[in-house]
Amino acid sequence: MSTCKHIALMLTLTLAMILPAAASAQVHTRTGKLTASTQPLPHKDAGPITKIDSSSPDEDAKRTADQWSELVQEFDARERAIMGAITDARQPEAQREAYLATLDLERLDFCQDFTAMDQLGTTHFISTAIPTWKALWYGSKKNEQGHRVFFIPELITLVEHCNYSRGSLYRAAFLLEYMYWNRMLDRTGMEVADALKYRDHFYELKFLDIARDKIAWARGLDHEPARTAGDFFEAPEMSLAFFLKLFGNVTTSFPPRRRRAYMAMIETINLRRGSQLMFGHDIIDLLDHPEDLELMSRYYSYLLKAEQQHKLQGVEHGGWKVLLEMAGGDRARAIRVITLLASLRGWVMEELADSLIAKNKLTPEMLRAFYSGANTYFIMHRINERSAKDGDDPYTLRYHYFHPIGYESTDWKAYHWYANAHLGCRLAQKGMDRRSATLATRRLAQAYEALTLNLAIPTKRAMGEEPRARAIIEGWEDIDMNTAGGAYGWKVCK
Amino acid sequence: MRLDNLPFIPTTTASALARCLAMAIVLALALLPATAFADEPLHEGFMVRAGSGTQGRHRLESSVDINLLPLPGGGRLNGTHISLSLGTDNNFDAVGLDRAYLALLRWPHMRLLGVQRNLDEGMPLGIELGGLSMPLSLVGKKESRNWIIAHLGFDGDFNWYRTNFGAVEDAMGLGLSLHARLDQQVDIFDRLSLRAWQKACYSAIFGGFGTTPRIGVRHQVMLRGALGLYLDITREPLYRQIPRTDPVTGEVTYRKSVNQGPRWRWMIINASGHWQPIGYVTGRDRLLFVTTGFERRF
Repeated sequence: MSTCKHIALMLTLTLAMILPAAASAQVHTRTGKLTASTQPLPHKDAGPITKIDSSSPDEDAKRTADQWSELVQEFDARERAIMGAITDARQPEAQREAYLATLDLERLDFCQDFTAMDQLGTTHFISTAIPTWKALWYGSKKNEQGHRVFFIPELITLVEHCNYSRGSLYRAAFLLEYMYWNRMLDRTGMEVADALKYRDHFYELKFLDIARDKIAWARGLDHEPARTAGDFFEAPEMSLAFFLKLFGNVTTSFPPRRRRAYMAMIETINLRRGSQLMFGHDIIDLLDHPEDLELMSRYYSYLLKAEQQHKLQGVEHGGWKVLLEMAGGDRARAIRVITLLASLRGWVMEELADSLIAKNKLTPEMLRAFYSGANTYFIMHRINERSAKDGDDPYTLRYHYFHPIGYESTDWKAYHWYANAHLGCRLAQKGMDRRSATLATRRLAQAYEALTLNLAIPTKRAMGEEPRARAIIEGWEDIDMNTAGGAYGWKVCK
Repeated sequence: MRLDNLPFIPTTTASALARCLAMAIVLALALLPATAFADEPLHEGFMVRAGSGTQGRHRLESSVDINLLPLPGGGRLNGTHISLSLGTDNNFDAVGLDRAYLALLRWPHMRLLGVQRNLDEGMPLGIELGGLSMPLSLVGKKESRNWIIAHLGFDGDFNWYRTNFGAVEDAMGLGLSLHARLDQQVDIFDRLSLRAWQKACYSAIFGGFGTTPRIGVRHQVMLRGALGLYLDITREPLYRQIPRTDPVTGEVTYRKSVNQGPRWRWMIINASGHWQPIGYVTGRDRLLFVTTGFERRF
């Protein structure tokens, strides 16, 4: 059977499976995933999913089971909302088939699992295999006029072709994310914040799939094998920490208090073998504070609301003000919650949940908070982008929405600021002086940016972006932001 | 200066002094640069140019960066660099490979395994072992084409120098170099840009020297630099406008962004040269080379 026929058959079978579900839900759906299409929707389109129960932790098994069911329903409703939004941007069917037939999908299986090591291969594939990439590249004039949307409908076609496999969702999300990192998203013909919505939808569908799997596991049902290697709680220190310490030993030796601050910072970061999570001790402490978990879920609800009510995004430092209000005016707590649950992308949900389930300790509230944190990381970008003000020159934007009053940045990576503010705070609590604390965060940022150049340079080249000077300049902007975050956090907690 | 004349530094003191020394070494490494022959490590792509130098050689030079090293997840690493320079004399009767540089990986901050030849320095063959440098953005914003970037670092190589290729004495040895480098790019007009770089390099060469080789060490300080004027001749616009809608008023405004693909440029003139205030090995202590050509680079 030829490749074209194979693809056509797969497409036909896929459509045959999809269409009945689509008819019942009135939106395009993921086959086999939606089981609640006839149940009432607990929330409106893109509405909040948060429903934190404040009752005591000593619930009986039945109540817990009910809570899991409730969470599943929330997730189902959320999925329907996302699928509806994605459906609106799909290519017409005939166009989809023609498009898939033009791609040499044997060169790269878009559907397979996606890891960090696949990033370069994926960007390379996109830059050589997708015909509209060139149009994206040179179609800037059309894009300015917003007459045609490029690329995103084609990504949706690829994801559908893969029946929304986790790998395809992750891969599509990564591509849009990578374009965002490199200020290329406008080339899709959409405004940046609008295009980010599709990245976030792809990621959220992946998180939904993972979250459902965790629930099934927690309830003793069939589930996919855990992906996390080892037990996060018992894991020894990651070997990378040795190099970070060595770097600190050499660059922060004098006076000795600088070195102490740097080492205290590495201790706070607490990298653990087999995990991408940082702040291991602090995350474990956080699990004993259900009010912080609830704060995360409530804040995500607010961000969903702000996303829909654009006037909320016009408030200077609006995101920070609301966060602070929800945290009862406790700045350290506000920073801590965003750092530990949101700045680490979906890793908390993907990795920590496994270890908690293994110990029979994962609760619906925890999973809801982890899920909210994972999506908060992404929605913050979207709101940050839309709410930013024009900078002093023709190029830059001033991001203010998630920063405290008196601070703004031309760097969009607010999560860098939060993570370093948390570090600065913890160093102050450990009795370190301000200069040593900020120097420690600066040194760590330098080491981190130097390491990430090795990832940025080849992938930027594959995407057709300037791979050298720009990566260095951006790295140094990040270093400045990290240092500012560290200084703020120290001040808050001194 | 010979190795046995170098001041002896005691290293058996307290750990604090050892740490001090370690920091001093790192700072010293950080104060000096990388990028042996790599002319413009911050610009990747293809270049061809021709020109003449004060040593009486006329040259046709070309360089290209290719994606060569495969990765397990698919795709190939960029940054494999090939640079060749064919030269001849005023009578056009002594054509030869004056300079060559092949590097497995040449990134701005890291280089790995290269082969080099540079007759301007009396070196028919050298092996670049590798190098690391720390980039520092002194001036620049992500969306601007105007920047100043410094590099501080070190590298190591193993080189052969021969008097019949212009070296002062025959030599073969391991060179350890510390570098400090500055790269600048400034747009004079939208499509006319000025590029310059300066590099100071200290090398200690350990090996055998002379026709009946004696083990020893030589020191060399080399200052290199270049200044070039480039005209962007790519048809596609250099910038694009990014629309943004105000979330409250609905007003659409635009931000400017650079279209950053590889672009054709006419290298109107490029003057490069070196001056060697301290050095016993290499041939010419000063050299100026003027070229013109084209490039398609990022």
